[in-house]
Amino acid sequence: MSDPIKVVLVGKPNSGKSLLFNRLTGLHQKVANYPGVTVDVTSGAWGSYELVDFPGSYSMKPISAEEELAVLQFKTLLEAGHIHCVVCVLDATLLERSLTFGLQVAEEVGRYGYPIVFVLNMYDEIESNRLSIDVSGLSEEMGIPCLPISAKTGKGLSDLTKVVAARPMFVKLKSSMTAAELTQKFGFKANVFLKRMNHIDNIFLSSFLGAIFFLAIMFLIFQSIFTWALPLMDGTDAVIVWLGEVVGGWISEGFIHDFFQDAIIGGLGTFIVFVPQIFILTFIIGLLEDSGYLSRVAIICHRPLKFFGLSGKSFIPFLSGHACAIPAIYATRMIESKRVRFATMLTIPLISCSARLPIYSLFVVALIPRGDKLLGIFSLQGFAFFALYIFGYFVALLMSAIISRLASKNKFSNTPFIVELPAYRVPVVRPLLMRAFKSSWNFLSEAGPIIFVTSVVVWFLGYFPNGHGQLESSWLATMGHWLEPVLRPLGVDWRFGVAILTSFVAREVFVSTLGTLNGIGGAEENVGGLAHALNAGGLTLASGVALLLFYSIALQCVSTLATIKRETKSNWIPTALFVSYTLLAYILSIAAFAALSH
Amino acid sequence: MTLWDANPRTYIRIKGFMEDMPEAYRLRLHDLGFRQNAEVYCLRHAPFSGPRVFQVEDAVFALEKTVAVFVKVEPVEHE
Repeated sequence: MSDPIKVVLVGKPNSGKSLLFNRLTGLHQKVANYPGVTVDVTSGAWGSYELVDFPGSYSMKPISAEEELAVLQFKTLLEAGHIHCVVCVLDATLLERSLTFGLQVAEEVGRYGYPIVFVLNMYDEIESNRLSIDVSGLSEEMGIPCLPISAKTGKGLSDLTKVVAARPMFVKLKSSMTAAELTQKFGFKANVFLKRMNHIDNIFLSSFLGAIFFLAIMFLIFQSIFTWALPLMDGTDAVIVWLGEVVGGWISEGFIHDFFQDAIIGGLGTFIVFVPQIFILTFIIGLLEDSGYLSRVAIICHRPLKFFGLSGKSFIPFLSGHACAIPAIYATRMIESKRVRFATMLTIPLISCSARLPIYSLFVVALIPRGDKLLGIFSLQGFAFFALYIFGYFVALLMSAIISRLASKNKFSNTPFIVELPAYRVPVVRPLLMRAFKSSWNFLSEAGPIIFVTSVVVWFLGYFPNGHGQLESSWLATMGHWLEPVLRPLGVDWRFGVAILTSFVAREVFVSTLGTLNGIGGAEENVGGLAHALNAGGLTLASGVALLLFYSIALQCVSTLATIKRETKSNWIPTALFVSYTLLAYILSIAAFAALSH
Repeated sequence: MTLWDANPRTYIRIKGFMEDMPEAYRLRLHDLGFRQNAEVYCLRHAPFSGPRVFQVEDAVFALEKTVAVFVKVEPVEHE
């Protein structure tokens, strides 16, 4: 069967292209797999056509390797044939800027002799502000059909369907007028949109009020990924536990029962539980992006982060990393510069995530008495938590600086920070929900299997040779004993080795494993009891600090490694990262133990 | 004087570009409307000595120092 004929959708970022794509294709979308593509090209069925959505581009003249690839891919698609028509989406409220890009596209498409249609999107905003564009005059002048539409309201989409079906002839641009001249002749004069935007920016980008709003909005994001996702994560966890009990009830006690209940259902639980956080974070980032505020965040944070080889766009992923590294790594997709994205992605695991919290709690409670105060006012335990979070940032920024300087300049181009400030708009919820679903599904389908297999392997090692409940005599315990010489410089025994091994599946497992090995049930809820047991067992300040340092740096999280593997499309990057962070963590821990022991 | 030196709420005109400016940067700025003799309005300096924000034609852009220092400008007096 031959490929369906294609309609290609192109446009500038923030032109409403994705919303139009969603409107035309509904839910029938997939990530297209074209040869050589490393940029995400989405396609979907639009009637009898395959609608191909290219990533937004500011120009057909690329300034970075990534943009060059996207433009090259567009040209390759045009060369490959089977093109019915190209639809170029223009932002009607920014006519001149949009036409500059549109004319470049028309010139390129004209070389291949394909028809092209310009859609003047967001025309509802033109009308609601009592402005107008001489659309037929513009169309006549260029020799290209121009249609006023609104992807938000759906107005004009039936006209678009008819015009595309008629396949208007287009050989080359009729007019030699520039975008500025065309706007002057056919567009509107006073730009009310800019005035309104500048008024709002006077608040959001001012040094004082801008900083207050920024902190308030970031606090809300932090709350959403930490607090709002929690009931959903607990709910997911409860469903998985219930499912385990139901399945367990069908099978009689023994290996098969334990395998299904603990390895299969438990293994599924280790990664499904992250989905609510990924969904909520993707949705909120989409809200900020579509409202226009995300560009402002990038501008506010750019200068401080630039010092460390990052950009303003690295801030949101770093902030998200406090909840979980996985959605944070997905959030780096908004960074165009490959080098900055690379440096951000690889240092996110150093930001203190929520899975580190139970470990921090355990050692802070074990090492610092509850009533101790700093300067007689602040809780010393609270200060220790704060110091651990700051330490995470410190190491992440330091590593970013190193990685961005080491990254090959040829392989990882550094796109300069040139950001167009989009107008403030009320986001449309449906495409944001679809984006959040897509992101969650990508995680489940691609990172999930790796996490699942690792969980099952760790379960096998902890189960055999003696069966369930015999962790002390399992293969995992044997491996813990093997690790004892390595752990001796930290002043801890084989039990910590076993806990470190099991926590590779998920960091928080460290606490429950130590609980099991010390005879403390429900250790995650009874941190105080376990801390007391560890103190009674001879845990010293030096060993505790050494382990805290180890866990604040080591990449003990298979889910994060699987996600990095997926995003970098490389095996050696997550491997090298795991080895180097583990080594760094180990060396610093030994140094801390040695310093504090004397 | 370069684009980076422009004060907030002032108009400037682009006189030209530094010779050592990467060609790709020049082309991109040209596409965005930062062309020779174009009049640009400096809207603000972002907090923390961050990027400069300019209005050119009907759009607003933030440019970091590594790009803005390549653009030669002169002040324009407006009544």
